[in-house]
Amino acid sequence: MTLEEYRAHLLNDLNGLRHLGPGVDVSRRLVAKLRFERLMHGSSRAREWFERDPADFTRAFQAYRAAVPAKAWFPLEEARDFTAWLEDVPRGTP
Amino acid sequence: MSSSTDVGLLLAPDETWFRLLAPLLDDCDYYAVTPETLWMQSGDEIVSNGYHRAFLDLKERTGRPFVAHSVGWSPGGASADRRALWAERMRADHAQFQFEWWTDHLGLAEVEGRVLSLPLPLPMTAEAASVVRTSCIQASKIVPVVGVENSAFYFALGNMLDEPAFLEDALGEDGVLLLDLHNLVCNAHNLGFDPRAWLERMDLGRVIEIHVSGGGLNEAPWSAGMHLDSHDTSVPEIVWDLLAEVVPECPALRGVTLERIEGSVGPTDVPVLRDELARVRAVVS
Repeated sequence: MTLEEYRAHLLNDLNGLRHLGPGVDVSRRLVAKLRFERLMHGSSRAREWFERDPADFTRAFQAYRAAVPAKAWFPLEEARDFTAWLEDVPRGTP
Repeated sequence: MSSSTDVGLLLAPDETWFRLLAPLLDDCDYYAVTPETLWMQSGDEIVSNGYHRAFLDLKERTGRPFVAHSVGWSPGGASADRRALWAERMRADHAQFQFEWWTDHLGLAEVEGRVLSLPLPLPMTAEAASVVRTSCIQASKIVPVVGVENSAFYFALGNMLDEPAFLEDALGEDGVLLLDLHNLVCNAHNLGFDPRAWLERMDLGRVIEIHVSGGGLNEAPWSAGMHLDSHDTSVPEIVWDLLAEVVPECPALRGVTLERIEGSVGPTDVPVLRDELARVRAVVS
């Protein structure tokens, strides 16, 4: 596999790599977990929402992940992206 | 650093960790730091956070050396914009911390501006090795001694016993290796190979630093029974065994660093970590 082909799989949430074993899904979840942790560190609003209603927050976070590519490396950046997404979403505000 | 092999601790940017482990800091010869944990976003800029000052104070107070172990340089490739930001920050940090060497994780932690944070494996090809080599050469213009760590991966693009040859190619003439023994143990467990066979294939003359840490099986169904490189438990015996075996085989080894993640340290862990630092010292001396 060339690097270009591989990068395309990574940009597609590793979907084309599942034949490589269960570790592909584990990696996807760890990437999501790291994004969740960034958001928890960066946004008191998200943190309070998660503590108050984990199931509702998890649904919102999954929708956020699906809608907004991860561009943030730092917690405050992630919080800014999350807030901007919430403002564009008709429902889901805490 | 001294001419012998020193003992270090990876500093965690966490108030509780720092308070509890403060008495152990004097047991170390050097400190390792993940530079990104000392940075924060401010508008379009990356600036220092409060831990940056705290760690600099530690350096000034103790006079002990620091080494850098980043996560976002992404030797397998990164966007030009992010690379430029990281280079600028690393240059500023190196001016203050005077890092003895700088390592990052083998793999891709970012793809075309998409942040993964978790280093993902690379195809073990000449093309990918060339990208890593070029990244290391760029980094060596900031910190002269640069290398990569064998990362923990949960899938592989090829036979993991080919990874030592890939690393050799990727490190080029001057790159150094940070040998993470817990990563090796995780990979061996998860991807089904013998860690000693991997070590036999690796040129251990490349090793400048060794990491020891713990982690373990996650009971959540999503982890598929895999051994996670979570750094949240004490160092397992298999890692101690491998450490004792490889240290005499690493002629350029300068430090062995203990890692323990923030959030996993309580008062009862302090004596455990003190014993682990003492055990590392016993092995290297």
